[in-house]
Amino acid sequence: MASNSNTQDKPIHCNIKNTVSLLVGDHKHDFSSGCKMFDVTFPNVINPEIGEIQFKNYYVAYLTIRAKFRSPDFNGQTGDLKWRTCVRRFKMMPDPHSEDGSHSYFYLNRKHFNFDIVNLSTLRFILHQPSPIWKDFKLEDLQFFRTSQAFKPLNLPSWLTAPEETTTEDQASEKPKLPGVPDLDALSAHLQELWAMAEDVSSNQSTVPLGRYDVDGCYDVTLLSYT
Amino acid sequence: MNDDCFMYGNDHQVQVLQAMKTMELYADLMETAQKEVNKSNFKLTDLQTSIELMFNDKGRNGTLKNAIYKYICIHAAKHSEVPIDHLKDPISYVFKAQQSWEKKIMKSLNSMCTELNVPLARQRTEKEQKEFSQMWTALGADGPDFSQIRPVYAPKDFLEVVTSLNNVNYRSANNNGFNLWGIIQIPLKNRTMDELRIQFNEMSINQWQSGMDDEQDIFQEIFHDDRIKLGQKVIASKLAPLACEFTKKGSSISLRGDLWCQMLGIKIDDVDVLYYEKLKSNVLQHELLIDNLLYKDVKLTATNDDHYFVFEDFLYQVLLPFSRDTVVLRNLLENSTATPARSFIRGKVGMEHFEVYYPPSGVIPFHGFAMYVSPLCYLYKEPIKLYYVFRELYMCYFFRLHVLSTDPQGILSLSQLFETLLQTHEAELFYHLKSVNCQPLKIAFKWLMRAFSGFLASDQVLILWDRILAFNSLEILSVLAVAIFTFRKTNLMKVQTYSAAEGVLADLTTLQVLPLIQLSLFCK
Repeated sequence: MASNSNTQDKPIHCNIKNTVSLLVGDHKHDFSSGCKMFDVTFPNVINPEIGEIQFKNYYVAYLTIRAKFRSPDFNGQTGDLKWRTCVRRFKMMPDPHSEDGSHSYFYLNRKHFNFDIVNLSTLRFILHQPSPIWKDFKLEDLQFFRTSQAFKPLNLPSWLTAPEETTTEDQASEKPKLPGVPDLDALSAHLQELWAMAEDVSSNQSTVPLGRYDVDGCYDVTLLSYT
Repeated sequence: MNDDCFMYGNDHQVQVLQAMKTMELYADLMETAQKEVNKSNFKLTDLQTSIELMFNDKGRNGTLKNAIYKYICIHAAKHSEVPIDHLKDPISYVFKAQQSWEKKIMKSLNSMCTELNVPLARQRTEKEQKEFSQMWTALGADGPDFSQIRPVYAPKDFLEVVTSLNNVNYRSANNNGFNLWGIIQIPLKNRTMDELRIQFNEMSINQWQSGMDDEQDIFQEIFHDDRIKLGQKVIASKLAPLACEFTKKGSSISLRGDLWCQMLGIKIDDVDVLYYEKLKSNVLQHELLIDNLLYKDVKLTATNDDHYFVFEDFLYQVLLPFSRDTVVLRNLLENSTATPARSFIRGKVGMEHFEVYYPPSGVIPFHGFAMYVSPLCYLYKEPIKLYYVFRELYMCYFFRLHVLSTDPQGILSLSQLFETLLQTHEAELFYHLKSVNCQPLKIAFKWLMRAFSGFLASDQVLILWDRILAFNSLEILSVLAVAIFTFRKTNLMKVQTYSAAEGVLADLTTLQVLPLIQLSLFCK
C-alpha cells in the first residue's frame, strides 16, 4: 500500500536544519528543558504547498508547527513575511511518562492544520517532552507531500458508506416493455444468480488457506533454519 | 495505539469487511440472500431493504453481530501504510527482543535434535500409523521413553528475558534516573487501581457473585436459582455480548460450558468435526519432536496433579492436533509479535518452495503449556469441543502470556501492572521483600504466565477464567496476584530469604479467588 501511494505523489524536496535544544542558563549545566525546535525550508520549490506531513515519532509528546509565509501578493509585490501557528500542541503521546505513542507513525493533513499551507517560506517544528525520564526525543523519517494521501478512495462498498440514495424511481422508469423479450424479472433473477456465482468465486479465490503445512505431502524436517 | 486509531478512519471498517468475506458466515448469508432474491415475488427495486429486513428477521442478525463483535475484540485497527514490523509491535526494541528470544528457543530445539539424533519431523510408516491410530484414546498408557527430552524453556527462563528488556532512551535506576522498585524497567502505560475498579465494576462487593455467594445455604434459593434461570435465557439468545455481560458476575457450573462457547463464538458443525479429523490424521501421518515435548509436559504437570491426572489421554487428543493446526499459525502471524520458526524439507535447504513452518501451528510449548488445557477438561467431555474451546482461548488470550509485546494484555504489561499495583498499594511489603532480595515478580511470574492454572484449585481457575472471558481482559490475573501477596502479607513480612517467601506462597490451592480480588480491588 505504502509504495503504491508514494508513486502517485513524491515527497517534496526539503532542507531540514539542525535541531536546537532550548537551554536554561549557560551550556555548562545539563538541564533538559524538554523543548527542541528545528526549521525546514524548501529551497528548490516555487510556492511550496503542503497537504500532508508524515513522520515517525521518537518520544516527542507534543508537537507545535509554525509556518512563516508571505502574505498574499498585492499588485505583483511580495507581501511581508509572517509567522502563524499551523498546528498547536498536537498530542502524540497520551501519557508522556509511558511508551504509548512513542514510536507511532503520524500523518498530519489539512484537517489537522489551522489553515492551508501555501506560499510557504519556512516551517518551524517545536517539539515538547515534559517527562524527564527520556534521554532524547526527535522526529524520524520526516516527509512532506503536496496532497494528502489519507483521503484516497475507500474500498468500502457504496451501500455501506452512502446514505439512503434511492434509485428506485430511476430503475422503474428505465424498464420499457419490449415485445418478444421474456419476462424481465425472471431474466434478471437468473442473471443475478449467475452474477452471484461469479462474485462468489472471485471473492473466495485465495483468501482462505487450505490449512496445509506440508509440501506435496512431505514434512520431513531435520533442523530449524535461522533465517 | 488508541491515539493512532482516530487517524485511521475507515480503514478499520475495510479490514472488518475483508475479514468477514473469508468467513464461512459470509458464504451462508450470501446463499440465503440469493435464495431470497430468486423467490418469485421478489422485487428488484427494493433489493436492499428486503435483504436487510431478512437478515434482521431470522436471527441471522445475531450471528452477524457475534462475528463482528468477536473480530473487533481481537483485532485492533491497523493503518495500511505503516511498515509490517511496526504493526507487529510499535516499540522496536521489544520486537527485537522477541526475535532474539525466538532464536534462542530455535537453537535449543536444534541442539536437542542433534544430541538425541532425531529429526524434527518424520513420516510414520503405515504400520506405525495403524498402531498409533489404535492407541488414540489411550495415548498416555505406554508412551516411549522421554527421559532424554527436556522442556525447551520454563517460566523462569522467560522471566529472565522479560527482565533483561531495556530501553536505551530511558533514564533507569542504574543510570542515575528513575527508580521503579520492580524488575521490569520499561515504562508502559498501565491502568491505575481506580481505572481497574471501574473496569471490573460488576465484581464489586455489593453485587451478587456466582462462585461465591451461591455457596452459602441461605442464598441458595433466592440467588442461585435466579441466576440459572437468567443464564438459560442468555444462552437461548445466542448473543455473545449478552453472555459476556452475564458472566461478569460469574457463571454457574451447569451453564459454564455453553456460556463459554457462546462468548468465544464456537458452534461445532460438520465442518469443524471434519477439520478435527483432518488434524488427527495429520498427527498419524507425521511424528514431530514437538509431540515428545508435549508428552513430557503432560507427564511433568497434569499427570502429577491431583486435579487433572485423570484427563491425561484427553490432553493428548487436544495438544497433538493443536500442534498441526495452521489456523493458530495464521493467528500468530497476524496478531502477535511472534515470528514462528521455519525450516526446509529435508534435502531442499534454501529452496523457497520447500520452506515450511515448524511446528505447523507455530507454537513451541514450554514447561506448563498443558495446563492451559487441563482445567477445560472439567467443562467438556467431547474431545472435539474441548479442542475448539482451547484453540479459541489460546488464540484470544493465552498466546499473549508467552510472547513479548507492549500489548496492554501481554505478559510484559501484566507483569508491570502487578509490580506497580504492589508498589502503590503494598509499599511496605514490596520494600521488605526487595530488601531481603526477593523480588515479588520472581514468584508471581509463573502464576501469570500459566494464568494460575495448576496453582489454584481447579474450580477456582474456572471462576477466574470466567472473568477473563467476560471482561475480555487478562488484567485480572495481575490483580489476583497482588491480592494473594496482600492476603499472605503477615507471613511475608517475617521472611528473610527468597526460599522462605517462596514457601509462604507455595500452596495456593486453598484460596478463593473472588473474595481475594474483591479485597484488593474494592476494600481500600
